[in-house]
Amino acid sequence: MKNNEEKKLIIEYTKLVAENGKHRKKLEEIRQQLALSHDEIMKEAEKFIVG
Amino acid sequence: MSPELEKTVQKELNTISHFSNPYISSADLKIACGQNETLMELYTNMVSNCVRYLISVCEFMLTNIDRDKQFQEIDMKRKVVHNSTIDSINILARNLKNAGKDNSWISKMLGNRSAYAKFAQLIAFETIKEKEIGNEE
Repeated sequence: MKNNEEKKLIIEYTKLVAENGKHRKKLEEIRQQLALSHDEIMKEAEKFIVG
Repeated sequence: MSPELEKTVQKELNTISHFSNPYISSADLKIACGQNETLMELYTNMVSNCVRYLISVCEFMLTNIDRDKQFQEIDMKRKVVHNSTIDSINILARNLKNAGKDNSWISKMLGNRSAYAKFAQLIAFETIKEKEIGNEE
């Protein structure tokens, strides 16, 4: 994890998916900003939040 | 199992979860509840609480990063959701035992709030990954 902005995006992405996963446009925007796939973001989030 | 197949299986497992759940996975818990309507209802309620807990943790972390003034309010919400999540996990575990099912996994977290938190977050991650896959259809 490089900086706070990346952390925020990953946490925000996780929160949106957990809330209902219907914010498809916003989720796609975050994936593009991070240049990561859904699975990659989930892995990072799991490491960061649970670990 | 051949080394190639083992590698493929491991790759698939890594996609499912970065961590192996040291308590019990959501899938195994669902199997344990089986066709028992009461257990399935308690399982669904517990999973719902775990997802709510993950959301409250995310809100807490975002507030912490931003040094938001609402920090205490968000932290209190997280604690309240944590308590109700612990209750729902314990209720499911007791009902599993009453139904003659294995609930030995609960002994690994009894009295340890951070263990409950880790379990809840792992269950929530398993659940939301399924959600996203569902939305792609």
